[in-house]
Amino acid sequence: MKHVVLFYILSSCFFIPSLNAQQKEQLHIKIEPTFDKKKLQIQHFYPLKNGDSIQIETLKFYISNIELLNDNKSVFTLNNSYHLIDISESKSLDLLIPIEQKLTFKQIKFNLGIDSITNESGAMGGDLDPTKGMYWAWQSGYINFKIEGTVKTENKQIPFEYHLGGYLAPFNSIQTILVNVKQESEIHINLNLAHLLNEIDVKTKDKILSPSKDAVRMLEKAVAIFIAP
Amino acid sequence: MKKIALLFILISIVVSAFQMKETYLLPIPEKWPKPQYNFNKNPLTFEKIELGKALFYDPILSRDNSISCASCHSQYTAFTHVDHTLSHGIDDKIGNRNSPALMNLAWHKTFMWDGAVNHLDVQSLFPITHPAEMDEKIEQVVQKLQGSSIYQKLFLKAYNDSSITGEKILKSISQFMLTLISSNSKYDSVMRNESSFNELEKKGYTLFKKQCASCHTEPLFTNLAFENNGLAIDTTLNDYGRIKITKRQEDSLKFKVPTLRNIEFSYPYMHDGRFKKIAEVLNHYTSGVQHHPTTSNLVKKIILSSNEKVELTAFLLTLTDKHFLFDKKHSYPKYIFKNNAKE
Repeated sequence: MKHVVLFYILSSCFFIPSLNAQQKEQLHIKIEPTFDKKKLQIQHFYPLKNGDSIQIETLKFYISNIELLNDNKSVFTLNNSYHLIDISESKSLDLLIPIEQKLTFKQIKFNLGIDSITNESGAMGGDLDPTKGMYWAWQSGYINFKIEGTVKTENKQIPFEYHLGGYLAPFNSIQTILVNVKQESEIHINLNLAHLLNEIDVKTKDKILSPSKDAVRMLEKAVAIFIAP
Repeated sequence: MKKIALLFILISIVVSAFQMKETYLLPIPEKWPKPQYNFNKNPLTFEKIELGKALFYDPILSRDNSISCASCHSQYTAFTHVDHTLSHGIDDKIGNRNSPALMNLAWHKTFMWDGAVNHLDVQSLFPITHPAEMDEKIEQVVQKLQGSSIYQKLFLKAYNDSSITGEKILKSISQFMLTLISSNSKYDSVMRNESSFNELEKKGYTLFKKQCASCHTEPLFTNLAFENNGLAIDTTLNDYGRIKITKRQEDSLKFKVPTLRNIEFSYPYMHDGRFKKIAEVLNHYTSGVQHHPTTSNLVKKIILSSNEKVELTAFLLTLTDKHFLFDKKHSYPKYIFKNNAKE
């Protein structure tokens, strides 16, 4: 009896996280950045269709509110989940999503960016912490998608910087992504940057750094980089 | 056996008392509207307010450790920067705007003269990172604070955890700023029937209610909206205010209506600090209003005789809250820094 009481006292002093009786299912989503068929590497030049070549130094973006669908019907929604994907941090490319039970699904849906309510909810932690370099200080709001690099043309190098965001009309820039996936132990999503980088012209615009029509347009184009492997 | 049970109860109480921080109940003045700030998401505690106060007064937030929030928001002048039309920051650089007075911030939904900031928690990011203010990165602030034994202790006390994040820094500064409530002016005591206005003040109050209160609405003395009060455009600054944020033509030349509380001490006035005296402000409203497409119709109608200006001024001076301006609770926390001065 004494031992039981002692155990009780000890456990109340040192908070012990409750252990789950049954092992929960976990969904492993793997994001694979490529440039067409090649694995994307930072600071490597890749050929563009127009004959120039391009390298990426920074690629960071938010994925939020992940949903699983089976024949267009939602079977699982993870609300208030915000994931910062940073291609220079390989860990961030693996998303582990806790799910209640084994689910059958064929599609995965998520937001590219941060919704307007979260944009107006003040300081937040984790992937949303302002130290992550994805928050605008001079005008409140998250950067949904950040890409920086250099284009090499025949005779010069053009550095480019696109910080794409904005949550207020008419420049609300968040996008919805829907990808067909194969249900395997790991769910693969390909991120083919060629589909975006062949569509932009750094010669006419090498910087987008605030909410604007250009930012919205480019994020609309960025939807095309998420594809089934 | 009973003794053991008693011991257990005692230990549980001690442990829970150590882990649970005492909530600080913000004194909300009677008859005031409901605050905008969501306290459930950032419950006030004495320890967090203390930490926020230390951060507010510490130049460690700036790139070269020279400028603190208090440099441009000094308590004795209702937390603004007196004597400077435009506030100056790091390396003596001059900004574009007059630093606003800080008080009753729990009731505000937007911040800055043009509403660029949408939540009190993220407000401090603006001056910390602005190149003419503190010119520092929030990541860098986290690093500097991690290296300080004062802050390790303060964070541990406030959060039961000495890890430092951007979120914790910002929310702590919010906590301190939320406690800056000014509601003890003569005007307030008259409203509470504890004293009365003299003749001049009474006449001034009547004039105020008729000609000023639509925008400078009681009890906050601001309607928290953006208005164009007909100032001539400063062609050096070319500051068009709210339109920069909304990109809407109808917001051109609109600026956030400032509170008039503690107006006696919060000079200079206007977003660019162009007026040094209350008299200049009143003269603007009676004879200086420019008619732009977005100028408020209300400011076009203001008529005041020179006697009425004297009366109105007498009323405006009743908005001075000495309790607030000299409350030690909001002052530089010497006791936090003194033992660690040579760190």
